[in-house]
Amino acid sequence: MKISLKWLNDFVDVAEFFENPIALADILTKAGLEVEEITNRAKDFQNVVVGHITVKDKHPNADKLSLCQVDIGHGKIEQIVCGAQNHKQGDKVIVALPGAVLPGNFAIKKSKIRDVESNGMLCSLKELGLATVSEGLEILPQAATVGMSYSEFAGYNDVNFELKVTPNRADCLSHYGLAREIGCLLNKKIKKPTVQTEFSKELTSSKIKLTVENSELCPRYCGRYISGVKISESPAWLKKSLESVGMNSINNVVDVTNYVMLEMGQPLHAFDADLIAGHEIVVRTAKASEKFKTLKDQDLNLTGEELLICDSEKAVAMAGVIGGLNSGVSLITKNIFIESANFQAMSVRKSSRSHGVETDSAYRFSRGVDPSQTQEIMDRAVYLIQQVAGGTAFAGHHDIYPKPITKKPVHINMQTITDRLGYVADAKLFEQYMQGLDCKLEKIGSDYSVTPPLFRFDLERDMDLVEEYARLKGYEHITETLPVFAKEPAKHDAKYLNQTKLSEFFRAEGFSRAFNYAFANETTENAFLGDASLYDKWGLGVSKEPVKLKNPLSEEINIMRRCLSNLLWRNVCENFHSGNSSGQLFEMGSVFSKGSAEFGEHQRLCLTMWGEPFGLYSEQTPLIYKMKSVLEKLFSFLQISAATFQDVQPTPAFLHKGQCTSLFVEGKTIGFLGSMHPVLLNNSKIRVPVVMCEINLDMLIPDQARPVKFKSLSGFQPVDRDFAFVMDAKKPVGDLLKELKKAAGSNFKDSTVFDIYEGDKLPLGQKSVAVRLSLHSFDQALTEDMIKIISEKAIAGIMKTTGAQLRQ
Amino acid sequence: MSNTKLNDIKESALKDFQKAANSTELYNFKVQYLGKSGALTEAMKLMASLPKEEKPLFGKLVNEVKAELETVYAEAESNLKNKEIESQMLSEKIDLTLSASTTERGHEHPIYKVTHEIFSIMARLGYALRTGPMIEKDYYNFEALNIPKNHPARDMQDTFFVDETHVLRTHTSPIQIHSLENEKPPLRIIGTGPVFRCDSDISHLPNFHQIEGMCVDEKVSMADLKGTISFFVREFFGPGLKTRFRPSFFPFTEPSAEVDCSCPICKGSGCSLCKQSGWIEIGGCGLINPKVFEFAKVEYPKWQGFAFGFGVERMAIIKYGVDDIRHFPKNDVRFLKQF
Repeated sequence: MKISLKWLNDFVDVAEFFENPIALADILTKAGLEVEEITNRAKDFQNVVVGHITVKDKHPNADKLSLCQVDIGHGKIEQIVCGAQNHKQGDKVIVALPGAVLPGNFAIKKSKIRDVESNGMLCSLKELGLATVSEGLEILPQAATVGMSYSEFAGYNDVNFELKVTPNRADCLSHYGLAREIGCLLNKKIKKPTVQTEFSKELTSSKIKLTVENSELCPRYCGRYISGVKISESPAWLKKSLESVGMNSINNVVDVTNYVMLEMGQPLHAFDADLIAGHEIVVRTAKASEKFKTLKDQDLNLTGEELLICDSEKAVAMAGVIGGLNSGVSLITKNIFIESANFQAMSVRKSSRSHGVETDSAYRFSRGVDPSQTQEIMDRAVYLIQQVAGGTAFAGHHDIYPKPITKKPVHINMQTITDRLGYVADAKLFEQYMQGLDCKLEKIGSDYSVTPPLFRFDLERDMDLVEEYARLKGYEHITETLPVFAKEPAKHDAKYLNQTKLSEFFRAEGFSRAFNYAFANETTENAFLGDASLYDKWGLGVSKEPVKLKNPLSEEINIMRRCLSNLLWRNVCENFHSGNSSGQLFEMGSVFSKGSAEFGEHQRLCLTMWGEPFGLYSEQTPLIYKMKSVLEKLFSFLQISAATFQDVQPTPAFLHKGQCTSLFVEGKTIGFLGSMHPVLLNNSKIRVPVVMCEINLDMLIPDQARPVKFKSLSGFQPVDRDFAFVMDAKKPVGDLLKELKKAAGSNFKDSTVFDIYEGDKLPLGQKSVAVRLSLHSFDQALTEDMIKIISEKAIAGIMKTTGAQLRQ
Repeated sequence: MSNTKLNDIKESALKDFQKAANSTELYNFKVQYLGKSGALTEAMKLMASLPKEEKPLFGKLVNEVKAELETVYAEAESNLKNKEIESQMLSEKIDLTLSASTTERGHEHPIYKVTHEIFSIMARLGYALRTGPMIEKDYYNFEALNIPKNHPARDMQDTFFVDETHVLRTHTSPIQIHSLENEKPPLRIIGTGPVFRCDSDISHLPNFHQIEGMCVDEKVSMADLKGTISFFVREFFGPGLKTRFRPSFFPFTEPSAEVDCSCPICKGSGCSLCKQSGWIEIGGCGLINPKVFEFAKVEYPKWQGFAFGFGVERMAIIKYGVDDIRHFPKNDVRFLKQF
């Protein structure tokens, strides 16, 4: 909220802060009313004054420039060169003198323009930052006092605060309310605004009758009739006050209602009384699908929950939110009906939110408006309307307030304050603070019963008063201690710890961790995934229907993601096109699914590698093998021994059909490893191989970490045997290795393929595979006979399952 | 006569041992003089022809020469071997201005780096880590945290809605409610994870991260809260930094405070990061509002507590000087490499 220090000064003496507004801003910020910005126009316009052009000559050396002698007051005349064309001798103008700094950090200095001395600058409003367009110099009225500072002349000798008022402090949403708070903080007296109204003998009810049908949503309604007002432009003081806090002037009556709202925090509405049909106002809830046109010309379709202000025929306002187009004050209005009411906060907020009509009035009502001042503030407005628009105020105002609102007393013990703040609370100080806050205080033994004022909606419990005590004393008095903890600490979330462990592993393998939004674009993701049902086979369930956002920020991100690959693929493309020609990324995070009743969140791990090795001594291993070796190390890291790579069909839409396999871990398929589809690479102009792997993390990592179990070391030397087989070039070598392992049984240590050959020396379609089998035993030295038995078993098994022959 | 011969052999051997250019040549000389059929062995045979009384003297002499030659040989051999290894190493010189490997180490994303660092600090104070769902019931995200429907406090957080009763959590505070419902006090937990706000501009991401702590015990004060946060600030940003509380409003705490720490860049003297104020806002905190305990069915005031929360991206921005929040979800390798 914008606050004018000048306006504030009407109610509490803050004159001392005009020179040093930061001091007041600090006091407010420390009290929980954060001043986010200070604007000081007087400072901005230092050395900018009202001048009088006494002589205007042509510049001797330039046709388009004029040479002016300008009276700047106090008997001083300055010579100024000017490039504008719209001024003449005798004009009053705005002069920026040396020392002035105009917007854009433009410092005015004494200078020479085309060999002629110039001691300042004549200004347009644009140059002063007060207008976006200006046609030449601003010519001031002849009545302007020469030598007066421009800020004083223009009424800019004010300081403005941008105040951040938290939702609990509705009482500070007005100048008077803030003055009251400052009065309490600085122990100063506050003044109430003037109300001196004379009423005619006629009664308001003779012109407008009032019925409140729903007093739950409208606890209090006051109204007064004023006849014979003259609608016109507002006087300068009123306009400037509103402008100083960023509000536009409309006409004198509407301006007064806004002025009083900013002054006292009570929203008001003025109706053109002659447009109220049937001479009556009825406060009632809307009928379902009733129509209403706001004064801003918006057509609303009502739900039936809104509270309306109606006449005998139609709605004339949506209570507390906005007036109707059919009954507002216009230039031809003669008689008005002023409404000052109290509406239920939640009801106003709901009406305002559901129709997207945000107004200053709804903002205040939804935070809370003091119900005890409804009539006084109405008459403050009536008084001001009479000042600026004339008219006769009728006696016998309406005031329907069937159940006066009261505040429950709050019981508080001094020990509570001491305990919760961690320092000894002082009873005298407490009394002083509570009185300063307008609370009624009653001492009951060592306890107090405190009745807060009606305007403090946030004071309901003892803890609220504890906060007030801490706030008024200053949070800086809170000391620093560490709580003692008697219980043994609880266990960490296993999921988090597992992810931390995995992150360390992958970083050691050269992968950097990525973070992508949990959002995706539905169309893009669907196109990427293809048939959602095939992923079940891969251990990565993708729900056909994504979780959709009801109010996405943009259509670009309109669903919750169902896979990570799609997003890491985009990261790869962006990286590649930013010049990162190779790299390795991984991400761990949730994907989302929509069940019949609940929403599912599943943990996924996704890895990607792109680019080719480059440079001397770089490894020429195909990228997909590199990734596979990382996964093999991962299984070992996680103590998983039963992990294989198996063929699954059909393959994910985004993967290369010939370079893709599933991860088969302990009897379950839990993800895929594959190269990206050549068409995707081509479409995104990625000229290097890209490998992608996505794993169901919930299935990869069990809740309990596997314990490390030591096996004693073999005291016997391992034995190596090399074999070369010739087999069908299309058959996977993996089948051969499986047989080797099977044949070796408990003596199996390791097997390594060290050569694969296809070419002239072999028949077409055949390949030779050279493999080293390592054998060991824990309880004896392996004899030649034993090795022979294993070898023969292996050769026979391999021949049987793969058709491979031992190469002679 | 035999003595003269012995001397000749010795002189000749010493000369040859000196002369040998490499260890093979040296070894050949060794065989020549000290071998089984070497000169010295041959000389030994002369002993048989000597008169009995001369034998012991001659034998002693031979052994002396043998010992001397062996010593000289060993020295010469070691010298030659050293020289040979030196020259071998020179010939095996590798140009170490070249590098072989082009693989980089992996880098932690700054968001998780910060999260983990905060977690590690709080774990030392006995806080256990908790996570929670991102698609959250309205009740856990708002109502149980004392943010009723149609309350203006809801305006403080722009919310993504999933359906009538579910939202994307706008903060990590629902984790507090789950913990209060599922675990028995006393409690010290730290909750973290992604959160969502329907808001995106130069300083906001629609999907960012929070980390927050909650302590529930029989007696918990604002001083305990301030002490805990001050400890955290010094551990995280560096020693000597101060912590300042400013009154604020959060529906789920009372009293509530915003937390500032003295600017870690300028140490409080004023810079562009702290907008010349010397202070940086890092988060919010307060004593848990009794209404929150009521919702979670935890007995109050038997159990009391405090809670605090920080924005992870903001902490990373302050700690590492990241100039634009929009770097975080981009995953540009050039960005990640710096952490």
